[in-house]
Amino acid sequence: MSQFWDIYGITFEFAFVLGLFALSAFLGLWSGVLSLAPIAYASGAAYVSARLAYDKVMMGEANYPLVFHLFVGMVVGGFLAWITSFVLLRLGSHYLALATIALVLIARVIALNLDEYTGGTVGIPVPRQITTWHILLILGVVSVMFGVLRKSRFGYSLDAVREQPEVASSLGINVQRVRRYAFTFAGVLGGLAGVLQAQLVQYLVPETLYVELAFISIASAVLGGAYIWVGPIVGALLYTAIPEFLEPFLGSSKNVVNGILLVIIMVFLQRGLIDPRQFRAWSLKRKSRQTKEVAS
Amino acid sequence: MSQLDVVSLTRQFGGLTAVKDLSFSVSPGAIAGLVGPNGAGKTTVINMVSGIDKPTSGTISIAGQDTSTIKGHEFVRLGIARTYQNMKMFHGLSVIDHVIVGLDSRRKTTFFHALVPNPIERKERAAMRDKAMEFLKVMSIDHLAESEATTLPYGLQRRLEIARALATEPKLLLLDEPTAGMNQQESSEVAEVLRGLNQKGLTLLVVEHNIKFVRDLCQEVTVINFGEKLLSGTPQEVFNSQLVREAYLGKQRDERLATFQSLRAGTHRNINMGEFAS
Repeated sequence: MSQFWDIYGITFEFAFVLGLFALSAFLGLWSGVLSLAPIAYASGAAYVSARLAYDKVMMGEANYPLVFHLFVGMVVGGFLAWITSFVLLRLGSHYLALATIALVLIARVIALNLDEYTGGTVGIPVPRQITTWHILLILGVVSVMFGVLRKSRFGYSLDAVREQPEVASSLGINVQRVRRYAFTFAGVLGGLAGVLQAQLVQYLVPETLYVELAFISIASAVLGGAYIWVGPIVGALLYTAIPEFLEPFLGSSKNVVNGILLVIIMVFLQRGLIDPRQFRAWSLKRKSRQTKEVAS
Repeated sequence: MSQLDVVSLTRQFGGLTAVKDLSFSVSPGAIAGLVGPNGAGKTTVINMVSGIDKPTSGTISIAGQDTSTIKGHEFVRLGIARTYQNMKMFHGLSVIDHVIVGLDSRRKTTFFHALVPNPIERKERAAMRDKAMEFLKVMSIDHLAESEATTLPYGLQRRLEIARALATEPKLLLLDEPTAGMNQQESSEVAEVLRGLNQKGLTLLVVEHNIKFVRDLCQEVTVINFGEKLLSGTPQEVFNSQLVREAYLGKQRDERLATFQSLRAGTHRNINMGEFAS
């Protein structure tokens, strides 16, 4: 077991953090918005946290505690998301998606040019404070949050806004506000995940949190199922596990097979692997079978 | 004071005038009908009255209050609710969940209650389920509470849609073609349900094509054609009027002459006049 963990531990850690990124992408999808922006906020948050740690360490002092860094990540991510939401959420669906891609690109350019603070292309080292258990704990807490959210007033509003924004509005739901809350919360999660990712990689360059990760986080959410919070986490685990599993057999051609597998999954399970609708159908069937048995 | 007052309402989409200088009112406690041929602008009117669309000019007052500065999602507070011609169900949500969404404007919890498990949230959640169940019982679809809404038959989906609208506790319910795509049996069931709601004090405005449905149900009727009002009055007055018959069947004299001639020749198209017999 410990040998297994020595080899695959780091893979799992990345998978869990990808789970957080996927959840932040899912939150956007849940409000009917395809947004890659959380990665841009993650980048901003990671740089702020990394810079604070760097200055401390350079001065020969002790680094801030982990909780402080996580908090900074969430605040910076949430703040950036909240500010930009006023502009971005004015746009309609695909224009918004494109604008958020642009935001990720802009974030890199800013990081490159603010080299005084970010180290530019050279980057900035990040001291690692987290352990696997920290990451698992954070993922657990966030999952519980999503569980509560799902059947809360806000969760229902999100469902309504995703499916029929017009109807939601006529039922008294402020569609713009619901989207803004979801967008900001996605930024908070993104900031948190960004700090974790930077600590995992232990070195931050502008490409650490960039479009590739943005696309992977969206793909994980869609693959796992973007209708319940379990989906993105399962998607993230699979998205990390499949290439890892294929590596010994296929070497670098694993990416091709990975892509084909994803296409097959998406063709046959359009709503993703975890679909609450399917579960409801099963539970209704089971219930009707039970009542039949009682009757006979 | 009228429940709804529409005064010289106009809506233009680019060069197209969908509704032109339309005025009508609905008295409290009435079942009013808004009828007209396809493309007459009925749905456009409903959209403006329910706050989804804004008029180009003219005013809409609800129970005496002017709505020109009120945002779409705030119309609920004026006691307006509506249903849609194509029902617009939420995919993937169960029947009871639809009604819980409809209860949103009556909930007290905020976004922050949703982040950590807490007793306030839990209590409200249970209360909302009970309340939603009551509305399902009113529409007699409570036995389907856990089913997937989009898999229900048409008539039941319509009932659910009305339950969802009722959950906002409206004073005026707007119904956009409530019998679209329904057979005689289903549409008379809907009429029964609506009559029951009206007896409990709800004012209704029904947009319809189905003349029989409107004649049986409504007390006051407004007929529009090409976005303009033809006339309004009781169903008897309206449906016996030449003007309305012309709007539906074309210029009567020529049409009748043609029918007469084709009848003699034995080649007439079957024009269903039965609907108009009073």
